[in-house]
Amino acid sequence: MHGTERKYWDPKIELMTLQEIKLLQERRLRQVVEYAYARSAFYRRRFDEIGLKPRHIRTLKDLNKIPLTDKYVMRESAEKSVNENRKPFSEFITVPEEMVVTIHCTSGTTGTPFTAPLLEAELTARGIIATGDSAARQFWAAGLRPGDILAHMWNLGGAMVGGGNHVIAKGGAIPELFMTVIPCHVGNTEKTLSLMKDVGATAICCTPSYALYMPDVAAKMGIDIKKDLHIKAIVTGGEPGGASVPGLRDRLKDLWGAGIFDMYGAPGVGLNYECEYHNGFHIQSEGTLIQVVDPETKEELPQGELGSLVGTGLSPAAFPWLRFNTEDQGAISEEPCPCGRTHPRIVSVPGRWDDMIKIKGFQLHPNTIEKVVNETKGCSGEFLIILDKDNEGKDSVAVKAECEDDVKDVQGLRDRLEHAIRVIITLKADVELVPKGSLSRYVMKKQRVVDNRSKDKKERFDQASKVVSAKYFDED
Amino acid sequence: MNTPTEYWMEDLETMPRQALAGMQLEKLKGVLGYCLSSSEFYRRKYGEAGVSAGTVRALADIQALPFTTRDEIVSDQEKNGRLGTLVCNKAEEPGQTIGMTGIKFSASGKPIRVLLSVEDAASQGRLAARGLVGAGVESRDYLYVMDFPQFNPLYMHLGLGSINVGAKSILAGMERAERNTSIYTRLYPPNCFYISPTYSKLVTSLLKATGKKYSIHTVLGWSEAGYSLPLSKQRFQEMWGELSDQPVDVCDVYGMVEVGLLGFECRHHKGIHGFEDAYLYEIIDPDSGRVLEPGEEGELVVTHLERTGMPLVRYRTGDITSILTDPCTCGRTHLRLAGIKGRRDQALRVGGKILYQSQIEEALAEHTNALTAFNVVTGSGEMSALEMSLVKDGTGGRTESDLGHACSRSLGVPVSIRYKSGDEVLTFIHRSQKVFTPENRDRLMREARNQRRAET
Repeated sequence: MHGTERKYWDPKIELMTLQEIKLLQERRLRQVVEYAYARSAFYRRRFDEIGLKPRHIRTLKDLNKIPLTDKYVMRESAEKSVNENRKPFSEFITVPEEMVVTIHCTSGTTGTPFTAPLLEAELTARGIIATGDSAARQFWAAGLRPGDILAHMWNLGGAMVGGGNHVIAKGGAIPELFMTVIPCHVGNTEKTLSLMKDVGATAICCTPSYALYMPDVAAKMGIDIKKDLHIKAIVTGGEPGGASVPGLRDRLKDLWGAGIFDMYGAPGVGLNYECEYHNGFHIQSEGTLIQVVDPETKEELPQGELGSLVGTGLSPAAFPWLRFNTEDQGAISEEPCPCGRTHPRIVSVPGRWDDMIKIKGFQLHPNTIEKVVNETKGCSGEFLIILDKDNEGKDSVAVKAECEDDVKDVQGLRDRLEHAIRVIITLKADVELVPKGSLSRYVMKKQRVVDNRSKDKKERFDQASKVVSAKYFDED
Repeated sequence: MNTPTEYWMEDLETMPRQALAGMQLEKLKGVLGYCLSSSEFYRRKYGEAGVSAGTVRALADIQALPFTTRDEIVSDQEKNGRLGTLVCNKAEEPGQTIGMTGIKFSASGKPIRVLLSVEDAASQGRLAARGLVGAGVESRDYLYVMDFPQFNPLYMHLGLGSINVGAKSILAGMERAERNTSIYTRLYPPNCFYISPTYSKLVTSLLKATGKKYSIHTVLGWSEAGYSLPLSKQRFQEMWGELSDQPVDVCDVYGMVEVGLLGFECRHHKGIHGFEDAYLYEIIDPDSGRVLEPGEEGELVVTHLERTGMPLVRYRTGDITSILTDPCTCGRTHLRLAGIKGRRDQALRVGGKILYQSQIEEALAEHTNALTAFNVVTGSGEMSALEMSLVKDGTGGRTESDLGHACSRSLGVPVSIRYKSGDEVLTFIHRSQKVFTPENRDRLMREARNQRRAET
């Protein structure tokens, strides 16, 4: 087995030269294209529609000949199959249905918890989409080692964010993950914190919102997070975290006294992880090829330019992903990373395009406001963007932000925040400060925007917020 | 029912009893030696009792080993911290998993923290596969696993068992059934469910509301007695049968977090098949500790034969049942348990008789159309009559006095029934507790509320 002193989980892969990586990717691309064309009705149809054949894909340059697939196209195929009394994956699957052993479902990152995750349902032939090994690489990079005890706080039933399948597929005991795992799931935070304290958990994986929420519960229980728990590292994922929202990492470090490592993982793009330099997510390039395209024109963008992330899975899978447009925003950097890992990095993933607000001809992303709020002293970090129509029927934007209990000059803080926001986004946003705790907090996925410009949306939000604020807010 | 595989591990499951006993003896000696060498708790306890590695030379010698109780384990963990001194492995050893009892409901207060090694998980996964196959689950089935994942090795191991069998598991957890039912069952029509009796009431009503028929043939579940009680089982079979285009087998599963999966009913419904290669099962008189014969009712005591993380030897489960050793139609030679009657510490003393919640459930299943929610609020001592509050719907229009008399005849004690509105009877969505003391009421109300919130 590997020694605990080595720096990388799998040095032979993580230190390959960029040239070796590209040659490997090229070879695997050819294989996976042949495989998908031969066995997946969906990809055969897409290729045949444009007269494309596997032999036309020889080098990485040929990648762009493959048509983009997005969730709408996938959803269409899934719906059609279901209406014909077949399974949603029927057109895609490359193996007999008999080989399927589990269904991976996600909650869907856009919209309310009621949104149908139709498209994000994925499956594997052997029950493991994020294998213990690919997760191990990430946790090793976060500084965790055999002997650590991991509190696994991603969803393990129902929503399945964070690849819980691989935990359950091994009955919770995962030797290739090199740590002892406590399947904590989400909710019942008091019991989770007690158990972590009692058994000496040293690591956590969870969503950033949950990492923010737990210290409040701990405080109420009289648990001193830093003295009573000894967490070495927190790996966050499932929503934009420390890498995209800079104020967030410092805040979490402050609360937990732990290394805060973000990740970006999704079907089609694999598990991309931060190293100790926190300058982007290292791609697991032997398994996934990621490129960036212009969100409007869909043309591939050069290295370093921000656009939509497109992922291609390079291992033959039951459900192939060839040029899947995630609509997540990011850029790729092939610059050497000081950590020594040679794999390109995804830099800056502020969020999904779907979350982009279009107002008065501007594009405004909630994460931009989040950054300002986090960096303004006196704000707790919770905020809400409210879009509405003013009396003249024009679009208006307001921001409600929670202020800390000990702020003395509330008016001054309000003015400072309003000014800071205006400087960043150019638009004038009315700012209202509200007491800490008065905005509903969402543990799993945060909805940062209320769009009242259409009545229907307002009603749906009111309904959803009533429901969601009651959920996950734990045992009484 | 026509299934391609009758057994998961045929040789083991149909092993002649003599060979099985021989295997048990070897394993028991191994476990004893292992516990003495790796666990401070057992060294201390067995040292005081004069037990050594050589104490067990025949299976009957197990009676020389002292019992282990839940209270002992709880206080050992409280006193010594972490996982206590019973564990044989260190928690930090890579690849293990930690669980905890009582997350949905603690039957008795303080939780026990549990450690399982990779080998333990693998062993449990095989037991789960055996149970699933015996209940009729096949590799082409879509199996909805609707149990609570938090700190719950039984959930993990059922999931692993499903993967072993090759069935397609949908790990739905125990939350938001409405969403899960409306979204996932449309995409992946269910064939089998692993779901507690209480939860199946909600899920069947949601499925019924879709207006569709499904090809459901097997429903399994643990945590409550319902599926083993003959009349209740019939009601559940009817409830699931209404949704299905074929007959449904409702099979009980028995397990507990600190011990593991202890048994599964097979499709022939003659009791809960144990796994005698993985556990030694004994029935004792709860007061004297005397070991009883097959067929005699008493407290179940279990001993791990395949466990390296936290092996329990002669663990008093607190559950009341009896052992059946007559052959089962399925051909499995391992003993069966006659359904779990109830927890000893939750027994009611009414009119000179001992009554369990399960018996009350059966009486109601006999005299009403539905699996009616009821409450019995008890004191600590003897009661002269059983006083029950019931929700009226589904009682078939009988008067309180009429139903009271009918139940009284079935139970052999005076019964008084009061109908209350839905709000006044404490009801649960995931897992129920129907008999409780006034002191526990608030805690149970909070639990009921949390269960409801998990569903929205």
